Amino acid sequence: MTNRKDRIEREIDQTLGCLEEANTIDPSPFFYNRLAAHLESQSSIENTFSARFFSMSALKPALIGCFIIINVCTAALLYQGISTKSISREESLAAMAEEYQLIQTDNQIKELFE
Amino acid sequence: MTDTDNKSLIHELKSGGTAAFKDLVELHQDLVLNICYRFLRNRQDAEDMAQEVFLQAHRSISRFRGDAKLSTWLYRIAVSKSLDFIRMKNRKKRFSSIKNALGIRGEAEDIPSPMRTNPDTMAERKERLQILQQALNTLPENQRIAITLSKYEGFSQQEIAGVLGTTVSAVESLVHRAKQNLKKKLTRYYEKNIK
Repeated sequence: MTNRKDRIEREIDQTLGCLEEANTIDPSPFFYNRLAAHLESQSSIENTFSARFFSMSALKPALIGCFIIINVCTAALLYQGISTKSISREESLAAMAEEYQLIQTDNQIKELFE
Repeated sequence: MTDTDNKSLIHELKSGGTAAFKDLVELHQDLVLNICYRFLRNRQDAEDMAQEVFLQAHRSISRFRGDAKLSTWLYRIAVSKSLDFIRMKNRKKRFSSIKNALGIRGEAEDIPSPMRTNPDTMAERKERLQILQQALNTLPENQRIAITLSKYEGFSQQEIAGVLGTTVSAVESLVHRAKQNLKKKLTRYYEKNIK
């Protein structure tokens, strides 16, 4: 039992000892060259026409402006659509009422009692 | 490096100077690489991660406000990228174990883990490192960062505090708690595995 406990203690100490090991590595001699190649390939992608076009600072406010105008127009059209829809609905209700004689004029009411 | 040198380097970096970037890499590549290596324990992964760290630094130098030292900022990127990589690897492992359970075998699964298949042939040190790494991975993140960096001689407590965005005394307490937790976890592990 003590043997096992000792062994466990020893194992723990040795494993924790791995933390203390001064184990360092040196960068490869081509570390910067590799990095420079990465950067170059990245910048060539960024320099394509579309990337440059969309990153133009003057274009950003124009795009935002367009976006706002489109939104305002859409909202206006939608509102107009709702109001015309409500008029046409009233008209159609009146037509339906007339067709089924749901609304009776004064003359028609008088005729009923005569 | 003096404060003035540091400021002029930052200024040159922000204006996109290639020579300044080369200086930055040459100054910090050793430490950045070794931080990644401390977390990942694999040379190739550490090299790739160190490259990623410098690429990220190059991309976001314009956003560097100068609140911390440039080196601390770089080391912070290195730590967070390494931890992200470990998280991604763990996710992949979980996914592959689900795939194995479902009977779907991918290319990577064809290479068996040496630990599971032939533990006898594995070097003792490697095995210990693996056990230690597993225990470290279960520690809370700030404890893991504190103990990993504290065992690396290139790092002062002050620098670790900078990376973690805390005080030196908090770092000391984190390291202490990390050691205690590691001991507990290793005790549990060996009690289970030593008959």
